[in-house]
Amino acid sequence: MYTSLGKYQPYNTFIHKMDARVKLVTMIILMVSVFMTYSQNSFMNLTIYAVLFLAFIVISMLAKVSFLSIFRSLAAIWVMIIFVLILNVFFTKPSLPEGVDPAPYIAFSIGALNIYWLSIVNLLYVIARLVLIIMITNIFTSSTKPMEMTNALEWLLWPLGLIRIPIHKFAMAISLALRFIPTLQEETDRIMKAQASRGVDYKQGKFKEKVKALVALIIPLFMSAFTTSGQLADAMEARGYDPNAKRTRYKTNHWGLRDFMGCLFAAAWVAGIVLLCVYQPDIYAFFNVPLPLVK
Amino acid sequence: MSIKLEQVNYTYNPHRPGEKVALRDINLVFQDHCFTALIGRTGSGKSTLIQQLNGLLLPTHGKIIADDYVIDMTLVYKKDGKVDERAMKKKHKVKLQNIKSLRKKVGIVFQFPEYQIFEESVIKDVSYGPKNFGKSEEEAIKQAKEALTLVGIDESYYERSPFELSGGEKRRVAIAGILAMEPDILVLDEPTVGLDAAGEEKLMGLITHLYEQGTSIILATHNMDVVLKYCKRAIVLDHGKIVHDSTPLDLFQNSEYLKSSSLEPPKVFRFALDLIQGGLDLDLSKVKDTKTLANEIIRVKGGNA
Ligand SMILES: Nc1ncnc2c1ncn2[C@@H]1O[C@H](COP(=O)(O)OP(=O)(O)O)[C@@H](O)[C@H]1O
Ligand SMILES: [Mg+2]
Repeated sequence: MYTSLGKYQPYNTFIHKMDARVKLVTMIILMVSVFMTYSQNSFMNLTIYAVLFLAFIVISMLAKVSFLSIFRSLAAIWVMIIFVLILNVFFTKPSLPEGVDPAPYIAFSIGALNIYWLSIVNLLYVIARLVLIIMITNIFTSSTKPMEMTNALEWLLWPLGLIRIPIHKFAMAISLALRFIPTLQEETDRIMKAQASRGVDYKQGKFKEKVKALVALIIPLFMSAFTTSGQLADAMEARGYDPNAKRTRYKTNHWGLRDFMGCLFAAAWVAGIVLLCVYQPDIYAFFNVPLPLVK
Repeated sequence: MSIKLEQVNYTYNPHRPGEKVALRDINLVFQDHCFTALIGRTGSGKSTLIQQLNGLLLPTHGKIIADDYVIDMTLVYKKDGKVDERAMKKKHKVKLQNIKSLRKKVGIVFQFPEYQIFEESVIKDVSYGPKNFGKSEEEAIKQAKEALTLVGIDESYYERSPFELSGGEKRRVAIAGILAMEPDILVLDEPTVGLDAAGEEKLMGLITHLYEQGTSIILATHNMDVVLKYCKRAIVLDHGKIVHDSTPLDLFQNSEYLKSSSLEPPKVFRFALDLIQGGLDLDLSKVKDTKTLANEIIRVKGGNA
């Protein structure tokens, strides 16, 4: 199954060209905004999530990221959603004071089992946050080269350098690992084809055959990964790589209008979050919309 | 067994970034018991073409007929004459029935086949293929032993770990892994790359032997010496298209086809051409390598070889 979720897509939008550090910080801000509670009223929160969802779709479109692929890949998350659903149904009950009639808190009943509004709201929270987080990370990883991503991460973690944590060694390790993901993918593809020519069927076949087929894939993959990493280490040493030396950059970014726009956007977003948290607007209360009771 | 390709096109990553047309309108028949070379510079589509032959890659559109096994991806048109993308998508989604029967007949030895080795002993690894194609344990071992004998790996190696072997030995074990399947057509992707002269000679000797035993051989290579010496037919690919299809002799005589692919006739052949220009009446069809060239010179000069 081919999925492009999260894989760098080499388009040429202004989001692609934006400095990765700006994108990283913006991504973190957007993520925080997904986990905030903006109102005592759960329905108001969910409404805000819906607005976030629309905003993220717009950003996805600007970055030419296919947000539909998210929903296709969400199929894999269904198991988890169902799990959460079951847990919710069995274990959440609003903690009502003695003597209060629970009837208005119940959304519906299946036989003796009462499904409370609270369960439904909780479930919606989980799904909404999951979807939103996946959307943000997807936009970031689809529009940023892995190398730029690690550089941005290294930059963000500079304070750790003050307490003598060798960040650039980690960054080097991470960027090497990222660099070799496509190589490993090609290698996997090659070995799979070679074994398929020897009659391995990776798609059909019994469970036992599939396990054996996996062994026939993984062992050659590891062999080649070890060889490659050994060669790489030699090549790096031969060219004078010293893990303790001070690093310089081959590529330096020149800040442009788009980067300032990105910062501005991030700042505006923070301001928006703060405003929402301070004023805790509740359009439902304002317009007197009757809502089911959640507690 | 023969394989026929009709209007085969192949595109990597269609409609996505990184889209790359690798094969264009390939029409080709590999006759039963052929010894064919696929020639072309790197990136000309040799490996892609090879992978069409046993269904590892399916044509983006086109048709492949391997005896009674048919992979039909011919274009479907709508009433207005445009390609019916929906119908094509559907065609590609249909699972190939019994693809193993095709893969059993068409054995592919990939470039650097030593990467496919994974079992703990040589004999186990070589018998892996036959077992996958439904042979019993004993039969598989028997076929493995025969294949190993063919590639010149003797009994003392059977129980050794294939990972301890030298590079050349590993490659021979890997090739035995395909031979053990007893394919009707043996396809090899650049088999001589990375071998020394002796290793190359040995390997080509083995391939010729298999050919004489009745196996069809298809060989991707840019080693022109090999093409001249061993092959019966040479097909030149350039940018995914067939630009020439003839005997090696015809190909090297009309070397403009090679030039466009930045390839050159073998040195022996060029030397023979120079000799002819210098007035020697050589029979070019007899010139295969230095030895046969020497024989020709002796013949023309009236000596006894
Ligand atoms: N997995 C792949 N994804 C995208 N493009 C590919 C892939 N494999 C090969 N190509 C491209 O297809 C073309 C033909 O490649 P290939 O068949 O490997 O050529 P050859 O074997 O003659 O060197 C090349 O331009 C190559 O870059
Ligand atoms: Mg190739």
